[in-house]
Amino acid sequence: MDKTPKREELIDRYLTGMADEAEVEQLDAWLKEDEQLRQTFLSATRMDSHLRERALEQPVKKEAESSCPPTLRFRWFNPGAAAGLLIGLFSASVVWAAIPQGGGITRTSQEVVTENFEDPDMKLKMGLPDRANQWFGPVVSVAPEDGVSAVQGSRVGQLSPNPGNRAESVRYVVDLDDYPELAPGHVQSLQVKASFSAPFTGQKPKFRVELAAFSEAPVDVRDAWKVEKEVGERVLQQVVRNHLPSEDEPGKWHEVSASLEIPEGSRSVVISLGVFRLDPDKPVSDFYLDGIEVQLVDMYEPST
Amino acid sequence: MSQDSVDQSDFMRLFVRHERDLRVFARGMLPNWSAVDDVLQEASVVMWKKLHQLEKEEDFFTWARVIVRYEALRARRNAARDRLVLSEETLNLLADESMDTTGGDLEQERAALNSCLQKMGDEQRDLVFAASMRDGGVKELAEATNRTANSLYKLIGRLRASLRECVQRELQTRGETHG
Repeated sequence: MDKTPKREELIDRYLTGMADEAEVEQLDAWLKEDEQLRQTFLSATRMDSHLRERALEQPVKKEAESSCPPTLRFRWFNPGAAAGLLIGLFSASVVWAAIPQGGGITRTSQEVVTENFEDPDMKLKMGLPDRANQWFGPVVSVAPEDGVSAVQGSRVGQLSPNPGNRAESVRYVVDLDDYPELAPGHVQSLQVKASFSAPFTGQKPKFRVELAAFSEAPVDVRDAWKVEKEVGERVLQQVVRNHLPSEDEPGKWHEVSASLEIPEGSRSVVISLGVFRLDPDKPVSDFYLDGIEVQLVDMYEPST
Repeated sequence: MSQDSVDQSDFMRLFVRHERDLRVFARGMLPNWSAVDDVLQEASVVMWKKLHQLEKEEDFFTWARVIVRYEALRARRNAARDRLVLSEETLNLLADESMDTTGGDLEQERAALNSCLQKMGDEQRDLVFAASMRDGGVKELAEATNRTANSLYKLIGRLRASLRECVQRELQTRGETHG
């Protein structure tokens, strides 16, 4: 029996995220033994890439012109913005400065939350957020040690990963229903900055600011977060900004910023601030977090 | 242009020039676009730091692919518990074999694909694009259009298969014409 169609179908299922565990295992076994299938697989991945390039080059349809259901109208994450991400890695200010403000564009912003961990009795709930407007995660307020000064005030948040964890985050959900509805023609973005420090590091962590928009209410977003695969499927728009400190900078503060253009249909935006790439074989370090500022920015460009 | 070494001021220009092709290479090793985006970002930082090791601009694509490959394998190890990823052995085989693909090959494929896309109807093209746009696109599209994911997958699968055949024919024709 000619197995080729079935094998090609399996490749398609894998590339479109439809393959289950058994199918991925089967595909893996076939790819190991069949050089021709590997060529077919690589050809399919190349075409998938070219298609995506073309798809992302398509102009975004304006709402009034589109008969598509809402989920098809989102301006999906564009990997072509990688150059922008890259610039951000080396100079966060470039990304912030890239927001156009001339030519009649108006830009207004409102504070969503500022957190400097000045309350010594603050206690955060652990785990994933089950409601909006609260921080969740293994963070306590401490006076910084080892000659580190707080970014704001005199105290900082101490983020303590569990032993064996490769990553740890503190999270906050913004409920967009708490803010005025967006006027026609306006574009809204969430801008977040936070400062991280690794004063006692034997580790070489990365610092990360991640923003993800969902159509679900905050209480429902929590269920999506429990299954990583579901997060990938449900998220409307996502921005991740990583920062890798130089090895010779222990104790220095590292400001990491990210901005997410909020797509139409969004209800919640999850903010994750964390450390990752922890070595579970090394002693667990505590990390400092301070100077968190979250702003909702509204931009409007009058039509000419 | 050949020069003795590559300066970091050249990095952005080189990276942007080759980013699309690096993304194609990474896609051959990674299960979804989120992973490709993450690995490209990690790899770009490594490239920036190690740029002094690159002697000639002409070698950037090959050199950068080695870094992307390393980062993709590292991402694979970090996702070891995920059963929806291919084994490291398979990824190494795929990476070895895709190193032979040149930027010129990819450009020809793009041109052939563009030609084939023009032969498709608007609705068909939009369907294929929507499924390619992001991870989980087929399922999301199914929900949005009130179809089952499987039926939509089969439809899009058929469209992709016919596109593949068309691209192969185009490449063959172009090869015969220019050969």
